[in-house]
Amino acid sequence: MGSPLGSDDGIGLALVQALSRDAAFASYCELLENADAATVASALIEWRRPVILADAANMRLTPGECKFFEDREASAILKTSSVSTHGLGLAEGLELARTLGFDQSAYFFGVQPFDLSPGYGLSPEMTAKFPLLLSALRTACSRVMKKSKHSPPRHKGR
Amino acid sequence: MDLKAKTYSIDVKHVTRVEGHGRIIVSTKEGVVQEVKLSITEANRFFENFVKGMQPAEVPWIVSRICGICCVGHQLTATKAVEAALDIQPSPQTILLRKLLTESQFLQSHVLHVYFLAVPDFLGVKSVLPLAKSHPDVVKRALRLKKLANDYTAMFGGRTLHPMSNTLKGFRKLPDLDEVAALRKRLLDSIPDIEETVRVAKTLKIPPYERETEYVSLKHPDEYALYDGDVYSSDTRSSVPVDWYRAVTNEFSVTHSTTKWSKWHRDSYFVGALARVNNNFDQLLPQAQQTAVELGLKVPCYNPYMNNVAQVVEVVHCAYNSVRMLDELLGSGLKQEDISYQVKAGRGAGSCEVPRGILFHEYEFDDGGRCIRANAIIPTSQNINNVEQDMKAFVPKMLPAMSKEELTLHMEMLLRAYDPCISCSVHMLDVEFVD
Repeated sequence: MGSPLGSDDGIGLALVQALSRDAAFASYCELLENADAATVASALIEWRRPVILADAANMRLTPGECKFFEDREASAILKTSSVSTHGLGLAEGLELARTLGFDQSAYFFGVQPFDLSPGYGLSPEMTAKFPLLLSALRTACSRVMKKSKHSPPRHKGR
Repeated sequence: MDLKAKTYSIDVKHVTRVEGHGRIIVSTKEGVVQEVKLSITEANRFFENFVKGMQPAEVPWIVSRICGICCVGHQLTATKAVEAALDIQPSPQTILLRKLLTESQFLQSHVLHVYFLAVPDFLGVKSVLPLAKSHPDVVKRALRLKKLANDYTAMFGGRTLHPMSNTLKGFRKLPDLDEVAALRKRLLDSIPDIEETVRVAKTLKIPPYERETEYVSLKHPDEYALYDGDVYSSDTRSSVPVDWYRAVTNEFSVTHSTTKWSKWHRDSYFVGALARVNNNFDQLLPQAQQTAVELGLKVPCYNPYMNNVAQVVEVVHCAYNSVRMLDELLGSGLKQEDISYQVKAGRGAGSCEVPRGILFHEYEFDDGGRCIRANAIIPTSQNINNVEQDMKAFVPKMLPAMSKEELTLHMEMLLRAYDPCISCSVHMLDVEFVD
């Protein structure tokens, strides 16, 4: 998830794009570019299997570090007051999906960004970290796939 | 109620559930309204400068970024303006594909606004999140319709946001006809959801305030004007060519707003769904006309809160009209067309209706095909003046019967009814770990 136009905000997209080039993972990959809460919720409700959401996340870590965790391990800060749809993001999309019946495990692969300023592509610092991050995501995916032992989804990845 | 006790100030510094930063200021003294202001504090966007020096085909793709919700409308309006500057005539096939893109955007945007931004007010919740708990079926339906509309845009635009298939003179990539047929079936299958949407709209208690104003929209001799037409005023009951748009908008500045305001034949005018339905009711499809009757929308309607209802009427129109256009497309088939063109010096203006109202773009190019001048006037900037005039008219009427909190809510609802718009922001997860 993310936006390729916000520097390291595109790290989730870049990682999943790279992962989708691997035949073992391709059919599990879905890109949600610039997705609003409604799109996130729709995608999760349709997914019907454990999901790993890869995105830039402010976790108070050193930039470039990643953390893999299940949603119940963290409390995402929800904007539950009367905000615009632009103020509703990933956390609200997941909450919406949970409220509407998405009952599968949801994991986050969060990466602490270096730079979120407007601009196409990752920062040089993040680019340097990319191989390590991809390897960590691959390991996380293998763990979840082994744990869930599901067959590949019927719909193709986008 | 003791009017003399009504001395207070309302200052909503950031009106929520609108796509923009707006501030409402109301002050009353001993029951007399002293001040009503709608202050817009958006920063300048500079898009008109970004495109200077760009080649003609680049311009529509860049300016679609003005808005994440109206990206299709900005792109198509810019495309029409650039084509007018370069004397490019799109084919009937291209126009049909663009009309389909237009209606996909209306479905996306109206569903989002009605269900996510407006309905929570009427059902007494603060946002869509508590709405999902109290009315899960309503939100699930909204998500189904939004997903359908997103996929519809992606089919004709290449992707959901900021489409890349449309370009000058035609389309770079054509949709697969089997997928078009599948989309047609999905649209027909969505009719029960749309009928339920009408039923939800029927339950909304619309505030009864009316103020007659000038209603401005596109008008076309042959169809309900969304993609094309001349600029029509309900005051003169006549149209002017799009090229005269500056004489329509007459932009001017006020000290409490960074947005330029507009007026035409009177102090302010209204653009958007209600203006279109008022001006072009007879050209709505029968199903949409019937919906208007069911929802109590009788034209001419002077209640701005009814703009939400007019949006539901347009959802019905666009759903049925899309099926009609898809049938036309499936009947005629698609062929890849020549999209080459010659650059030359020229100036052109274009206009489309976008969900929030009439949109104008104008571009000028030099001999080398470089853009040297650009202008874009969006619906929200045309509407803001009219919203403030509504507030000035309604506050004195509402004041005797409403508490400060009720009045605040009704002013926010009024602004939200106009569906004002801003650009997208990045989303980033903010996480605190549980010990």
